Amino acid sequence: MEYRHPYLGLEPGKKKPLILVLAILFGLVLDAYSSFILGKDIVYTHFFYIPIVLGGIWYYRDAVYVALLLGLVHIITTLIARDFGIVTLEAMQRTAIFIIVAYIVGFVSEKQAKSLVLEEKKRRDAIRKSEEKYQSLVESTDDSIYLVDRDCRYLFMNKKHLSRLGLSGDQFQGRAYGDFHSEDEAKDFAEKINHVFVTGSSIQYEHEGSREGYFLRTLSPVKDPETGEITAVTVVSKDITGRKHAEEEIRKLNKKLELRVIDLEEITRMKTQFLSMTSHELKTPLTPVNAQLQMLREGYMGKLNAKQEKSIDVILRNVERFGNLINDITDISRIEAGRIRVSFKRMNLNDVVNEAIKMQEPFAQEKGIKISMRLGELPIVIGDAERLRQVISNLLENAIKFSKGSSDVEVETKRDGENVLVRVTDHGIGISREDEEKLFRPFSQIDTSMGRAYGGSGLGLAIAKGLIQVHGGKIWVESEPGKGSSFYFSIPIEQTIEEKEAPLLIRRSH
Amino acid sequence: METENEITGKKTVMVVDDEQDVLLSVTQILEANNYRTIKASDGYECLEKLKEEIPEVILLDIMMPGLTSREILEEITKDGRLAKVKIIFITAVHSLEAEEAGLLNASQVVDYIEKPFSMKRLLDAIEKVVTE
Repeated sequence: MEYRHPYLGLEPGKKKPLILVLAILFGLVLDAYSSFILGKDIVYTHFFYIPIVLGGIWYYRDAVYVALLLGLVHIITTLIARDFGIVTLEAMQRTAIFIIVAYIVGFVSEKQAKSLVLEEKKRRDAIRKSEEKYQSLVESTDDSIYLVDRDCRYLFMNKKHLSRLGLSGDQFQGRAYGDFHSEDEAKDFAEKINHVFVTGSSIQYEHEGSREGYFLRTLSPVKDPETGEITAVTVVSKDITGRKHAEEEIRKLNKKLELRVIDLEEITRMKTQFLSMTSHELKTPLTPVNAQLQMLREGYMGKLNAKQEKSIDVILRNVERFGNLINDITDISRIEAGRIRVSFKRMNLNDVVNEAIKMQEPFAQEKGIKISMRLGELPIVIGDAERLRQVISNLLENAIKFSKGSSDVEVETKRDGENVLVRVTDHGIGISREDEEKLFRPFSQIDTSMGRAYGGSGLGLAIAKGLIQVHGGKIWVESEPGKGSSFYFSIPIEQTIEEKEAPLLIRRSH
Repeated sequence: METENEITGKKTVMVVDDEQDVLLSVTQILEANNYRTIKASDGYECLEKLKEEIPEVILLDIMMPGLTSREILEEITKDGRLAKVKIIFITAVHSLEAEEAGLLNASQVVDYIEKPFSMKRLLDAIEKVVTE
């Protein structure tokens, strides 16, 4: 950077011999004029020196030397003027005073000049430091940074880019983008540079290098701060080869996963189809068995004696159990596949509870158990009445099954904030805390021997949980081993599930 | 046919099921309860027999070989002669599956009984239809 000091010139330290010679000559001429032409050896002549001295001081940094030189000139001219006679004391005194004054003026001026130089040095240091900062910024990055002109000639490049091009130092000078890239690349680059020059706006694009990897390039215009004219374009080129390869890898993996998902969806679909086939095929032979048994039991085939009746009751009961098991397995599979079918309608949960109790009451009476109800006033909720009846029946069935002796089973419904809550309590064997969690998993009757002692598929609560979740609700148990258990479920009142038209009365045969 | 009905006073129920044992059991129950029955083992037989005689109720299975239930249903609903015939599905297919398949939309379909069925449920359903 060139810097011109208003007083000190181009380079503050540089002497100006011509100006010095001219100043001395000018002094000599003036002194000779005053001494010879005017013929007056007077003090006033020395005033001529003052502008010369000052000019020298202002313009010339080593002002002290100027002053001394001028003093010497004065002595010499004085000597010449006096025919090399003896210099008078008076003249010597005047000269001495003059020299001292010049010296002082020179000294002060020198000081000022030095402080100006110092200031200038500080300024330059600051600029250099700032430049260093920018340079470290430009050099510390892993990105290639370079500056090109309109013709794609390099004006500057950071070390990273130098090494990328296999250059060092100033070797980029006078070379252009096209020298290092293929014809097509150069053509494309020139178009983009031109675009920046024309539009004045930055562009960013991914560049696939013909020699190496992928780069993310950002082209930004460099504008002259005064005219606003675009003088160059900065190119920041980020190596994204690694990322690109990773992306490629991810794309491949995604493709694979997609295929896997399609496979899995197909498997799930097949599983569901298989299950509904299996369920159908299992129920088909069960149907005539069940029908024939019912006819037998109703005396269609002739009157039965008590023993026969009892026998058929046992068979019927187990045929029914078998049918329920098929339903349970179908249900749990559908729940696990997220394909449980429900039909949502507006309903009152109390009606459903009543229906479930009515169904379970005969079994309770068999064991001498009384089902007591405390049904609170409930708002209408949206749900699948049939499925919820299934849940409540299951809870009641369990409560009856696990009740001790002829203790009561309690059923309570109430509004609980934004939910309706149903509680079924028994005074049976209870459940330990560790077992509470297992309870809602499929096939998880706490003790495998319990399955045998108490019957049941071990699917009921898992199905109940799935069904309640479909309703956006929760199901849980609170229990004290040896004292009994309370099963709760809650269903939100604010239901956004769309109400579906019920095509007709749907009832499960039983 | 109508004369026969008038003479005996019996209501006629057509039972369509590919399973012979189911067909037999259902007709046994119905006949014991004073209904006249027409048996059909598949869709073709069902439609064929409907040309000869019009029952009050058709008990229709889902998932039979040959014609699909939907095809049978379409044939019945578009036949003006059969406009008054009520259809009750009796099947091992879950009602919601049937609903999804669009089998329950026809106005002639009035009930849905899942297999294995209870005798009482079957008789109640038919009773309800024929007394209407």
